[in-house]
Amino acid sequence: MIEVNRIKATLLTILVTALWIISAVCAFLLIIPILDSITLIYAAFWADPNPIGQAYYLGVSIRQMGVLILSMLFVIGIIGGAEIQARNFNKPSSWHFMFITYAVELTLFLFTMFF
Amino acid sequence: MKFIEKLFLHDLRLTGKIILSTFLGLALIIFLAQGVIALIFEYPLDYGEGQLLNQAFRITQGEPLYPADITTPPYLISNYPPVYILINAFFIWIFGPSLLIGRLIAFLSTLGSAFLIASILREFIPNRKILPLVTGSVIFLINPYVLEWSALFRIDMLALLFSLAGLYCVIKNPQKNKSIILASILFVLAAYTRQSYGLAAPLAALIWTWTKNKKQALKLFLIYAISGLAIFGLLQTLTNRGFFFHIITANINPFNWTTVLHSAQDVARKMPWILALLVFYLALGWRYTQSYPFLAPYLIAGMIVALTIGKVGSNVNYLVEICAGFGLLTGIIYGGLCETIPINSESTPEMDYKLEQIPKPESMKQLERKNLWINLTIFLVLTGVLLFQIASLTQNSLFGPIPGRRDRIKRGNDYIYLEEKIKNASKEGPVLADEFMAMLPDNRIPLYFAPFEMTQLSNAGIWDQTRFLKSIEDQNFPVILIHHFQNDPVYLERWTKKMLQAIFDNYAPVEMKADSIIFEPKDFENKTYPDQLNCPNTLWQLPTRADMGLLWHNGQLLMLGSGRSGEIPVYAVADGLLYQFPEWEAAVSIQHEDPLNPGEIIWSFYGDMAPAFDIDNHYIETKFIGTEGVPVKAGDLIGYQGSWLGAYKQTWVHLRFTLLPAGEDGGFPEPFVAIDDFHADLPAYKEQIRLGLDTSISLSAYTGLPESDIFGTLDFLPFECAVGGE
Repeated sequence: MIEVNRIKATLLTILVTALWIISAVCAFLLIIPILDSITLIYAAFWADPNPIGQAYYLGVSIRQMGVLILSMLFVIGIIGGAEIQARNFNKPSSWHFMFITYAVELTLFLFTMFF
Repeated sequence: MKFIEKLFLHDLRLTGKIILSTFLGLALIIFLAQGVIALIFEYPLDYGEGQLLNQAFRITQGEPLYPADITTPPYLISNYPPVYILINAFFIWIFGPSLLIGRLIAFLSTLGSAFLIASILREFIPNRKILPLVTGSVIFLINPYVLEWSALFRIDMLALLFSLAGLYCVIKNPQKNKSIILASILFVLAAYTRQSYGLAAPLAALIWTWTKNKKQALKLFLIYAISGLAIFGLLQTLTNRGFFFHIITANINPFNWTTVLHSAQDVARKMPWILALLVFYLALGWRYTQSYPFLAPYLIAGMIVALTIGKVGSNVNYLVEICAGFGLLTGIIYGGLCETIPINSESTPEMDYKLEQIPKPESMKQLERKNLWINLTIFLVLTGVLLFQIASLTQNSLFGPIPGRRDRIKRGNDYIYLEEKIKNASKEGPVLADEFMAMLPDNRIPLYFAPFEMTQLSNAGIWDQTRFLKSIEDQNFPVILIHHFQNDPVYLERWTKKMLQAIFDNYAPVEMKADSIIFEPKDFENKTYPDQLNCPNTLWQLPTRADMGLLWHNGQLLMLGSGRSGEIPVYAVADGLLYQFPEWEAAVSIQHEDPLNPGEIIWSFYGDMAPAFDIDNHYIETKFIGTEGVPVKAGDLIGYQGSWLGAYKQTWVHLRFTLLPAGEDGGFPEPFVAIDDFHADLPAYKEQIRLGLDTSISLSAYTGLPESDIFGTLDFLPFECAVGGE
C-alpha cells in the first residue's frame, strides 16, 4: 500500500512539474505575440508612419514598457506558481490554481490570435 | 463523483467565463477609448454634425427650424424632429456653440442604451446572472456601426435611448398605468428625436403588453398615437406646414436596392454568428423563451427600418436600432443556455469544493451527472461562438471606423487652417461647405446652404436651384469647400451637376486641406484658365480636365477630374506615335516631335487609367492595348481617368501625366520604364543629368499646366494656366 502511494505521489509530482514547465514555456512564448497585439491595437488608434513622429515614439515606448511589465509578471508567475504548487501539493487549491493558470494563458493566446 | 470530475466541471466553466470576460473587457476599453478620442476632437467628424449644430444654433438665434419657404436663402433643411436639437440648443444657449455638447449627449445615450439592454435582459435571465447581461450590452457597444456613431453629434443614439427606456418600462411592469404612461411619453420622445424610432420599440411594447393585458395595450396605443398626432398637428400649425415638408417630404430620397444588398452582405460578413442565433431564435424562441412576444417583433421591425439604408445619402446609423436588438438577442440566448437543462441542486454534490483537502468521492445519479456535462458542453460551445463573434466585431471596429477616424483626426494643422480660412472669408460673404460645414456654426457663423439636402430636393424637382446658381455665377461666395473623399466621389451626391459646373466655371481650386478642396472666385483679370482643354498661347492642348485641381508629385501631375472613375476622357496632347509597353498595365506614352527643339523627340505619359484594385478592367481604349508606334492626332481619345494608384491603394479619380525626355535614338527613356508604378523609384534631377537626359522639359512650356518646385511630397496646384513656363 505504501509502495502504491509512493508511486502515485511520484507520478503526481512528475505531472505537476511537467504542467508547471509547460505553463512557464507557454508564458515565455506569449510575451512577444502579446506585445505585437498591443502594438497593433495602439496603431489602430494612433498610428503614424513617420519614423520621427510622436505617435511612433509613443508606440515604441509602450512596447518597451510592455516588455518590462510582462517580463516581471513572467518571473513572478513562474516563481510564485512553483511555490504555490510546492506548498499546496495535490491540494484542491493547487489544482485550481493550475487550471486558472492555463485559463489565463489560453485567454492570452486567443488574444494574440485575434489581434 | 470524484474530485477530478468536479474540478473539470467547475473550472472549465470558469475558464470559459474568464476568456469571455477578458474579451468583453477589452471590447469595452476599445469602445470607451474611441469615444473619448472623438469627444475631445474639436473639429467635424461627419457631414451631418454641421447641420444639427447649425439647427441648434439657429434656435438660440430665434430663427425658425422648419421654414415653409425655402426659395430664399438660407437654403437649409431640418431633416429631423426637434427633441435632440432643442436639448442641444439649451446647452448652446448656456455654453455657446460646440460640437462637444452634442457628441457627449450621443455618447452618454449610447452608454445609457447599453445599460438599458442589460436592464431588459435582467428581466428574462434566470438568477439574473451578470455575464449574459454584460455580453448583450458589450455586443451592442462594440458593434462597428454603433461604435462609429456613438460619439457623433447626431440624433440616433438619443432616440435609441428613449425607445429602449420606453421598452424597459413596459417590460418591467406592463400592468401599471404609470409604466404605460411613461413608456408612451418615452416613445413619443424617441419618435420626435428621429422619425424611424417610432416603429420598432413601440410595436414590440404593444405586442408584449397585449400578451399580458389587452386593456393596458390599448391604453399604450391610444396615449402614444394621440399624443404623437397632437404634437404633429401642433408643430404643423406652428411651422405653417413646414414641419411635414422638412421631416417627410425632404427625406424621401431616391432608393437604391444595391445599397441594401451591400449593407446586408456587410452585416452577414461581420455578424455571421448573431444572424445564425437570430434564425434559431425566430424559429424556436416562441416555444422556449418568455421574451419572444417583445423581442421577435422588435427584431423584425428593426430589420424593416434597417432596409431604409437604401436611401441615397444614408449611412450606418440606419443599422443602430437592429444592433440593439442583436444585443438583446445574444444576451437572452446566452442567459437561457448557461444552464440548459435544469439541475436539481439537492441531488448533486457541492461543486464549490473546499480548497484545503481533496474531497472524498460522492455518489450521484448517472442522469444528473450526464446533464451536468451536457450543460457544460452547451455553455462552452455557446461561449466559444460568442467569443468569436465579439472578437470579430472588435476586430471590425478596430480596423474599420477607428483607423478611419484616426486618419481624419491626425490632420490637425489642416483643420486650424480651414477654420481660419472660413472665419476670414465669412467676413466677405457666405461660405459654402459640405463635410466641414460644422466649422461655421461652431464659430457662430450661420449656414447659408445645405448641399446634400438641397441637391436631393433639386433632383426631385421640389426646389428650383436657378437663383442659387446665379449666386455662384456672380461669385457671391468668397470660399467654397468641396470635400473629396479618396475612396468615393461623395461630392457628386452633395452638389448638382449644374452647381458643380457653375463652380468650375467661376471658381478655381486653390488648395486642398484635410481632403477638402478650397475653391475661390476666379481672377479673370490677372490670371488665365484653361478653356476647352487649352491654355492660351501654348503649343499643346491639355490631356484631360482637372476641375478638382492638380497634385504635383516629383515632376508628375495628378490631374483630378470631376466625375466617377472611368467617366472623364483623356486625350492625346499632340500628334505622335502611341506606345503601350508590355510591362505597363494602366498607362500609355506618346512619342512626339519636340516643337521647341526641332529634330528632337519628347514623350508624353498618361498613367493610372484603371479602377482601384482592378487593373484588369483598365480604361485604355482597346485599340491601343499592347501597341507600339500607332499614329495618333492631338485630341484623340486615349482612355479615361481612373482611381488606380498601385495594387493596394485607391485614390481620387485622376490622370497621372508628365512629359519625359527621349532616351537613346528617341526611344522611351530606359530609367523611366518603371513609371507605370506610382511608387517606382525614378531618377531624380541630378541622376537624370548623370544619365545624360534632358532635364529642361517643362510642363508649363508645352501645355500651360502649372508646376511646383517641391519634391518628395504631394503639392496641390490650382487648375489654371501658367504664364510663359513660370
